[in-house]
Amino acid sequence: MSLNSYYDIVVIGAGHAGCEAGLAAARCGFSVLLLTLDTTTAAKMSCNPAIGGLAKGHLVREIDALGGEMAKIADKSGIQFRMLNRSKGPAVWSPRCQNDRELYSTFMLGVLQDTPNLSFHNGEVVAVRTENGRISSVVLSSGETIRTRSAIVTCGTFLRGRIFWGNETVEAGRIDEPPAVGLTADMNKHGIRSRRFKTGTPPRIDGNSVDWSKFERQDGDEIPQPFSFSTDEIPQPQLPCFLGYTSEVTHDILREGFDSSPLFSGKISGTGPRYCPSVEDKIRRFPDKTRHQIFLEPEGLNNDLYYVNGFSTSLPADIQLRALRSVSGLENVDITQYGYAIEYDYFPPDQLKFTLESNIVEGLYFAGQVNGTSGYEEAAAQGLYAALNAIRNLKEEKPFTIRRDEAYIGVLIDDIITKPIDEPYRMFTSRAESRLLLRQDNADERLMDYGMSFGLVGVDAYGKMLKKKESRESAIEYMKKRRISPDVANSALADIPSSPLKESESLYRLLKRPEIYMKHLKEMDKEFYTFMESPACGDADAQIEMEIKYEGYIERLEKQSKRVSQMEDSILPDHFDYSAFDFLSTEAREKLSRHRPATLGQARGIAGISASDITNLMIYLRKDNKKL
Amino acid sequence: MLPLNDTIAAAATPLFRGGIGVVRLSGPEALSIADRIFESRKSPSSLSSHTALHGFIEDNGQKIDEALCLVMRAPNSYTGENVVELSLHGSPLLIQKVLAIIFSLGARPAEPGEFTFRAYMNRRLDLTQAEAVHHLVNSKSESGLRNAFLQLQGSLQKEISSIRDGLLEISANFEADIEFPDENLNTINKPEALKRLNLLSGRIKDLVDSYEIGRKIEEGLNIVLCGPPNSGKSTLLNRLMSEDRAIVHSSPGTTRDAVLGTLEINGASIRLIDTAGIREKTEPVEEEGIRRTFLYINEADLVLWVQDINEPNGSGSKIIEEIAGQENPENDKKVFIRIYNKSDKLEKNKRTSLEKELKSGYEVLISAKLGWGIENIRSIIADSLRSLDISGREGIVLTGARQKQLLETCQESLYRSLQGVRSNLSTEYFCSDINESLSALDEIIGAEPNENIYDILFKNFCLGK
Repeated sequence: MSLNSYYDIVVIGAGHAGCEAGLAAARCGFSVLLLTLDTTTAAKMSCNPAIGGLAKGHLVREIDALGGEMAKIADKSGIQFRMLNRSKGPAVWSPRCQNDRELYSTFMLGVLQDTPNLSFHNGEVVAVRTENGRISSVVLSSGETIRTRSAIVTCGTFLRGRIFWGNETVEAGRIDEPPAVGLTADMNKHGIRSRRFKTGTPPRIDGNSVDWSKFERQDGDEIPQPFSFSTDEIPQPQLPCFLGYTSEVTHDILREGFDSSPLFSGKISGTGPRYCPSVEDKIRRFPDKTRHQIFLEPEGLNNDLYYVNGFSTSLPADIQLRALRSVSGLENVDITQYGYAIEYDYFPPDQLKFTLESNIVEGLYFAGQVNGTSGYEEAAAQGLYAALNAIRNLKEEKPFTIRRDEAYIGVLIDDIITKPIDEPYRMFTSRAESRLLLRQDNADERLMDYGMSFGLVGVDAYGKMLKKKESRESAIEYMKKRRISPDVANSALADIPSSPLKESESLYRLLKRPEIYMKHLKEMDKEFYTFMESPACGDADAQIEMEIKYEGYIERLEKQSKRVSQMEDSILPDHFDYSAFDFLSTEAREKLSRHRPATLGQARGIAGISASDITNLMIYLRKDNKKL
Repeated sequence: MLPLNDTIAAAATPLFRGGIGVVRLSGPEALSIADRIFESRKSPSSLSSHTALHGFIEDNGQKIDEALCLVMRAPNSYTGENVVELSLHGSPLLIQKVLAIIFSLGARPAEPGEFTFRAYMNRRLDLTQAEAVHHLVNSKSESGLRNAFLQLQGSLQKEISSIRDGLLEISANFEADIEFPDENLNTINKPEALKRLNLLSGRIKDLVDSYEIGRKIEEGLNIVLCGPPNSGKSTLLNRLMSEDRAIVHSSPGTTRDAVLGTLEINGASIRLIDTAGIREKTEPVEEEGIRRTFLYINEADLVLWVQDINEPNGSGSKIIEEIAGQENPENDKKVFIRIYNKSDKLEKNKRTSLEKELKSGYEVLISAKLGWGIENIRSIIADSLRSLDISGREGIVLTGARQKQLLETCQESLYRSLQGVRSNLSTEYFCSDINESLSALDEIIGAEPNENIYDILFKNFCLGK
């Protein structure tokens, strides 16, 4: 292998965060070195073979709108697509797909290899060197030193990773893969704190040993909805998942293993995610539940392996096997890979700026699980975001930030930087105050401008977004003007049922009735039907319904987010003598005096200024304004 | 703009002649200034936190008062800064002199509320507590004080936190349903949610309603003196106030506009309003005064109708029936008392027999001029205060307009959420309403919106694959 002596950006780790980071930076014309312990494991799905889900699906759509890769790879390797929460309103619909684990990695690897400016190599970074506070080079375990101006740390669970089943423990970053041991200590030396988190994964089984008749088959949506705004068709054949249940017998067997559970014995000191509990945790915390769901999810098209979702465990292997075999339909099951827990280092992200750059070492960025988050999607979003900021930093341009009311990515970044993280952080729709505005279907309208500005979004995809937006807006205009008379509408209204019209009414007003949907209006009004079908804005229906029916909600939220952005834009007057502001930390006083940011939003981006400094400044500004 | 890096000082007790007067200093120079003004066996700056020292206040080497010096060190003081309190003898002149010396040594006079402002900025107080301190300081009456004190102790905070917990619980149920659609959760059903939302919204309504009472406690009750001209209202006012406030003159219509006085009865502060005399036939110049009198009567909590006992059928008797008859539901709490004045002009026998005839409580015979029966009026006022449920009310009462406004916002969005649940809107919409109510409550108690909801979510439901 031949490495250059200098790269603009070095990305450390080729998981979901690292791949997005490397691709974005290389595509923007920077020379990128993507290093990983083993290039054949790039973009590996370490846990479940699925992308998306509630809020995570939103993130994937946003990554796509910004010009990331995850959505496209998920579409290419997807073997079952479902839009979750269809029974609710469109704001909480969220796409999810099962993926062929092998294909996902293979496709991503192909893209990495085909991307100009991107060098992808084996190598373990054990130290970073700095000059004048900025990163100047990375040191590899081989002893090589590579000069660089930026590095993005995306090591996932590999830093001093240790995996557990029962009383056995092995040092590993993932099953059968060695951990990365040097980097944590080096980061600590630079003054960057690290802590331990824990997560777990369930066993994988051989599908040939399953009695499928005992399971409930679950198919995906009839018409798969792709993640990417530029995917036209889903290439892979679609497979079902299967639903089964544990029993009291299963629970009793699992309880036998509690004594040797590394979770309960205190062997694992790191905190685990509450939303991804191990099956032993579920049994212990909810002793009254007589059964728990297990989903058997296909691992791929070319094998018979299944992932036992819902059965994450770190109990001894023999207990895992006996417990699974007590499940109806799994009496003869063969486990191909046992479940395990993994404990790893992460760097609490309160040490980062709003750009994901370290507060301490300039040019050093952190993204993904090393920031204490969990999930492929959360990682990918951070990888992309960190790279975009590294690029801006190299070009000496202003930081790239996304507000909470603009995107889930904005919520994610803001949350991890300003809020204490006590468990691996996962995105939820309820974390977004503007949830009703941040829909999966409008991620393109919300973010493609940014993607375009970086040159990461194609002209085709951008044009498609503009056209979609235009046709929806013109449809709403049309509906405001188009009136329907009682004699045309009333018989259809009676069928729905909805109260009859006394005089003619606009389609717009009619759609505001809770029981009336776009399909009813199209049935009532042939001309409207033609209008809607001719430019073929088929899936715009739900968006139109949402915008008209819930106008009040949307307006209220928009007003709210305007208030927030106004706050971000609050002017910090030139005359402020920060050195006199005792309510700020010493560091904040010093940094504010030095940088003299023009707005509160800018102040937030400065290293060393904590969320509580910002809050205090805000309070002070408010009081100050009142006095003026 | 209030700087936070200098040392401020002010009298911490009112500038009245009293037993003791306290001067408070807060800021980085508090201790060194105390060292220079306070002479004792030790210097104040050598004291550990929360200890007191006996000594003397000195001005240019001359002892001017014997005093106690109490030192509270940052961050464990009220303001979170170094604080020194000097307890002096309570002469206003002395306190002002000591303050003048302190200012000459580099401290700055504190703006009103500035100690509390610093306490808040240094995170020693949350917002409700800071507001309560403000009310405590400005409160005009003892029961106002008690209320402010209760509030300070956080009873309002407690109630709001408890309502907030209730809302979070409901919200967590709905959110679980949104975030984990695959898990067949047994979340709260809509009728149950409606029931709980209704209860919580009732509790918020109680708090909002209490604002009116809180305002009365703080601002005082309105008592209006009215009656025909020349019936002695102003004399009575002066009697009750024990000072000459209104111009008293025997020519009818002397009081053309309302005259205000405040007094305290049983710890409740009372605004006494003397009004222009009411009679049926008026000169134009009096009409405006009479119009205003009616406005005051409408706003009054208690109406004292004063008439001359020697003129039983004096002018205004029709109007009195009208006013007394105004007991519609809206002002059913208004108390109406008839006062027959000028009993000194009656013969003794007649006076005694009349006194027996009067309905106790709502009619009283007095002589404002000679001070007869004034104590009766005081006790009647005290009684009617009790019937108004104001003096001695224990419970949580809102006093801040900001709190009221936020609670109204909360009430409004809760109402919308109820509508949403009833009309079968998709969950995320009424969740958005509940969240709005929650953030209004967060703002009142100054709580950061936090991960609470996830604590509830994961405690109550077995979630996650």
